[in-house]
Amino acid sequence: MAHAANINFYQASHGWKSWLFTLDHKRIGMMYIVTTLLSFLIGGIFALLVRIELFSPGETIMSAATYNKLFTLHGAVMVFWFIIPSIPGALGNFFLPIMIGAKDVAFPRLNLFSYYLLITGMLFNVYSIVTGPIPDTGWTFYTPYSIQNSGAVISMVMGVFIMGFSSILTGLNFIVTVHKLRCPGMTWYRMPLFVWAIYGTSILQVMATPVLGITLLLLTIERYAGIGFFDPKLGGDPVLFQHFFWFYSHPAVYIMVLPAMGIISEIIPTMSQKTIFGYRAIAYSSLGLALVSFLVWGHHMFTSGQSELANFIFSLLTMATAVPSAVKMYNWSATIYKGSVSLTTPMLYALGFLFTFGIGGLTGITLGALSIDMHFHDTYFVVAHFHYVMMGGTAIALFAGLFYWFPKMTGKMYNECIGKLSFWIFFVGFNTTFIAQFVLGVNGMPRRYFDYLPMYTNWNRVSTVGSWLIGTAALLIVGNLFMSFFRGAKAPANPWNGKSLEWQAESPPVLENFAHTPTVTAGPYEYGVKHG
Amino acid sequence: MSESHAADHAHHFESVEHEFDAGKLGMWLFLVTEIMLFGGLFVGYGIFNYLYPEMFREAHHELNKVMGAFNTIVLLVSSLTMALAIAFIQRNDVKKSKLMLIITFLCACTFLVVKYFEYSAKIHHGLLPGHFFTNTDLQSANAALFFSFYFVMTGIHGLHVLIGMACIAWIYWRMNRGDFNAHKFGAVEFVGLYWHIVDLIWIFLFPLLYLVV
Amino acid sequence: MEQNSHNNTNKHTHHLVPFKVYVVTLIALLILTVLTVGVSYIDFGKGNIYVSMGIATIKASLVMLFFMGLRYDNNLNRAVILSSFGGLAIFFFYAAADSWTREKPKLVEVKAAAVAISLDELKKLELGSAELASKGKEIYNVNCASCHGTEGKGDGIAAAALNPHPRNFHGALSDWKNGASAKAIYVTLANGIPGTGMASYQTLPVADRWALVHYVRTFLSEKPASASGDAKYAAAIKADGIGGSGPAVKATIPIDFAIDRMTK
Repeated sequence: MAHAANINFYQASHGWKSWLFTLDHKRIGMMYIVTTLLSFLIGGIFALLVRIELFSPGETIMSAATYNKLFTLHGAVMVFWFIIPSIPGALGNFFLPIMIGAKDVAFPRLNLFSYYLLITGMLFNVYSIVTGPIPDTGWTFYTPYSIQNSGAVISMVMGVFIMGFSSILTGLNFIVTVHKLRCPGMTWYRMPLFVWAIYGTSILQVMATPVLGITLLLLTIERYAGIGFFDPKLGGDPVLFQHFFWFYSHPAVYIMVLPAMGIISEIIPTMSQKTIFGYRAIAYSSLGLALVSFLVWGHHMFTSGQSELANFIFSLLTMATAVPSAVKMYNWSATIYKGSVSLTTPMLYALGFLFTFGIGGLTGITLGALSIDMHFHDTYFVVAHFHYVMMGGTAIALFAGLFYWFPKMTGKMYNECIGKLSFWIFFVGFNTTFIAQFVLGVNGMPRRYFDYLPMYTNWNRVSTVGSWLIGTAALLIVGNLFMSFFRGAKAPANPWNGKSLEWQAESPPVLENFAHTPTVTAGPYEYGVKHG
Repeated sequence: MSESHAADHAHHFESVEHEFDAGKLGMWLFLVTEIMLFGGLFVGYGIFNYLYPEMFREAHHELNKVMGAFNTIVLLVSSLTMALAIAFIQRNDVKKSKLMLIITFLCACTFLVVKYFEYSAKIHHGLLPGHFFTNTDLQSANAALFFSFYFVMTGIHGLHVLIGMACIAWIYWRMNRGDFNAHKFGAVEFVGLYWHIVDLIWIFLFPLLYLVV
Repeated sequence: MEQNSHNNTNKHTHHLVPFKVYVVTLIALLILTVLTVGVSYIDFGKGNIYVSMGIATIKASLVMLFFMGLRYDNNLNRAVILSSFGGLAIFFFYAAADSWTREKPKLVEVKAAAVAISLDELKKLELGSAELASKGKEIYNVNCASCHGTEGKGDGIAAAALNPHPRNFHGALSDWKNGASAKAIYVTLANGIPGTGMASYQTLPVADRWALVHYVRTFLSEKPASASGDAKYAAAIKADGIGGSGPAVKATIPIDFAIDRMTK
């Protein structure tokens, strides 16, 4: 095989088959980007429809039955098609090997298989949507309703089951890659923090996702055979379903947010031209967050009928989750302080993250307090909280990362003006949409309700208008990336003067990432440090 | 050194040993997922066993301890023969390694045949999961719940035995083709690890289901 | 190459385990299997599960150490598999901490809501008083306002979901099923209206029901008098055990009992 030193990975082979059957982690990463951004737009359309319905009390554009199906689809598509696969599959795949100086991930064929598992799972879901009846259980599929209702629950959860395996195999691949494929000189403490974050995420993917698998399998068997694990009439316990479900789904939210934090840890030092404050603290906090995330799932079940003892334990432990996240927030802020800050598009998104994830995290602690959650559970306060962490956390960081690494991935620059504009429209729209929902929640509006009391109308309208701004921003973001891919100006190899390994590679990288395997002698954020 | 073995391992690894190590770690990580998947079932079983001790006690008497013990021994022996298959290929003895693979495969068949007889007996007595439970002899309420666990747990385990058999057959075919030697036998070892987990899970299933005191 | 040291390439990758080790391991496993079966005939009480799982754990450890090679392998692989057992332990511990510590449902006798009332006391209740009506207002706001509305206009929060609509007490009286006299309203409270959302409130004490009657009557545009020989009323009173041996109790959960249980 020729050492394709001057041929970038796009030119290394041609034709659609060379993409669909590729073993190149970079091409697989690009395919994930396209798929997950498309999923974001689809899930976003469901959200816009939901918000239009909620513009006025009573029936606005759809019946209650349709509404229930739409919010179920919005949740399921956003969680399983978009948020979980996006950062690890797209940016993790593209950059993890490059950042540690490897030629590829440990198991390239498994990597491609992961991608096709995602597609297959999505097709199962499409099947359940097209043949119907679309499930209206909410994306959490709680029993006993999910057992009794007539929706296409089985095909939907089997799709999720398959997508779960995509996630597991990606995590497995990344763990082995980090352990076994680091280039000479790349010790653990010289790895970029994005790699630490992906590593923590991968542990969660491998350990927690199988429990979702068995949960959905049991749900399917219960629908067919009435085995009774979750049915009180047969001696079972519906709350046990919730234990099974949330044992995965709580670590899942850290699968969503840890990679996002990893991206922020990359952008902030580069855009401040200053070494990260507290490298080891941030690295350990990624692992710490992964560990603690296994201990708190019951805080989703405070009002479900858990025993007092369990409620108490889960509430207490939830407070601990604040610590690793807070460590990161402080360290990022300390990094920016007295740095030489460039307010480029990626940096704007990263700063936006600090604001929105801060709110999201703090309101999470609020909800973790048992006495408060008794009142806020199942209200719009919860909806606002998780949108602040998922959209104001993962999505905003994904956009930051896509802009940050766009020149490296494509060799071109995105449009900076539109980039900045899209940030401001997104930021204003996002906060409008969801601060309104905090207000609604505090005033007692329940979630997943098709109708509401007239007193909630005004804030609902504010929220809906905000959602239109988000929609506009989404189109600008995706449009900018798409157009710039074809028509953007040529970008240099290191437009931001980054110090981590990926900036030493070509833009776009060659097939095996580096012409010669690099030897690393310094950390990834050593700005202003002279090397021999 | 690596040039002469260039065809022996994938290009992003430096050597066969490097590739072997990575593959082994990958397989152990996969086994973690199997433990967590089955583990969920054990958690459910444990919780309900505590809540309905009398019902579990009465229902388990319907299971055939002799068949269960026999199957336990069959799987333990198959674990030995699997380990020996690897030991032989490590010593470049392809012939004996293949023999061990065949014996392992036959043990697995035996296991499934015994399970067939067990399941038939249950069906005959109407001791089936959920909706299909028609037995009238058992006195305890919700006895169907025990059999739900029995069938789901042994069923998924049986499925894994089948998958293991397919993997063993594949390894046998590759060994016949001359793919493995003392220097390169990763796939054999990894299938072996998978097979031992299948055995390990049964080590826990047997006392829990068949020997509830 | 130099990177082996931190790539965890195992120096013992091709460590040859003697055949003897495998055979001895199997023998140990078979002995432990016999032990497992034998021990199942002895009752250790609460210790049973620990004994059987303890033996199984030893067997599993032998399989992992010798058949799966962990005895000769690196620490990373050991840490990986042990962490899965740790994760499982967490799952089990917390799920059990919930399932096993829930309050077991206790059989509580629901005391008969109606207290034996003498015929004299009944006459007083039937006459009513301002005091009784204002007590009725309190009871109304807890039990009735969610459907009938705080002003009795049939516009309570739950009203939108009900078909037929809850009664608007200010409206026409001609289509009231049992009539709008005091005794008729009492009958409605006692029996409910079958086929509608109006439930029976027989679990409310007789005095409370009369209080409600008088309060509801304050909404009416006109107040028809009660028929003296009202058969339905007589039946209702009899069912409440007034002037008889004791009240008949319907199998319904009184609201204050339910609220007490839920807020515990």
